[in-house]
Amino acid sequence: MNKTSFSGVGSFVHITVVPVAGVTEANGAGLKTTWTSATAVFADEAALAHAVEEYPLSNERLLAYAARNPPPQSWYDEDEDLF
Amino acid sequence: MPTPQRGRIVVVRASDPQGEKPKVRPFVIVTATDEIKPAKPFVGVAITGTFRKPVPDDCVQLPSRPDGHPQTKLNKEAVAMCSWARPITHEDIIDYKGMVPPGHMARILKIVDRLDKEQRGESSETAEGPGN
Repeated sequence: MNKTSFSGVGSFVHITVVPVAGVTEANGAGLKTTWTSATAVFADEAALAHAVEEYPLSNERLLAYAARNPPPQSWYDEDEDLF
Repeated sequence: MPTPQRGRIVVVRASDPQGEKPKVRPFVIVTATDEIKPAKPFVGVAITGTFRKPVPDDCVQLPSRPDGHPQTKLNKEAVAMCSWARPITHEDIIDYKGMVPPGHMARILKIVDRLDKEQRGESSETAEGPGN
C-alpha cells in the first residue's frame, strides 16, 4: 500500500492518498475530491502571495494606518464571545 | 506555543478610546511575520460579530462554524473590520486563536491597501466587492 501525506502552511491541508491496484475506479470519486481540496488550498496560498507582492504593506505604513483608524468605542463595548 | 504571525487571530487586552476599562478583544495580525519583532508594535485589524449584511466593502467575513471552525476557531459569524486597526505588542496578547485562511488574508490586505491609499489621496483600485 502506498501512502502519501503532507501538510501545508499552518497545517491547513493534510492529504492521504492510498492507491489500490484494480479498484482505481471504485476509489476515483474519493481521490478526486481529495485532490480538488488540495488544489483549492494551493490557489488560496497563491492569492496571498500575489496580494503580498501587489500590496506591500510595511509595518511602518500599517502603524500610520492604525493611528488614523482606531476601533470605535462601540466595538470595545461588545461583549459577545466569538470563540 | 503559537507566535504572532500574519493571519494569526489573537486576543488582546486593550484599553478603550477613553483609556479606561481594559477590554479583551480579538484581532487578526496584518503585519508581515518577518517584521514582527520583540518589543516592537505591530498591527492587527479588529474582528467583530456585529456587522451588516450584505457585508460592507471594508470587511471580510471570516469562516466560522457553531462547533468552532477548524482554522479560525470562530464559533459565531464574524468579520475582519479592515477600517479598524490597532498597534499590538507581544505583551498585549493574552491568547492565540486560529489562523485566517490565506485567501481571506489576501482580501484583507487588498482592502487595507485600498483604504490607506484613499486616505492618503493616492489612486487606488476599485473597491473590493462584498466581503463574504
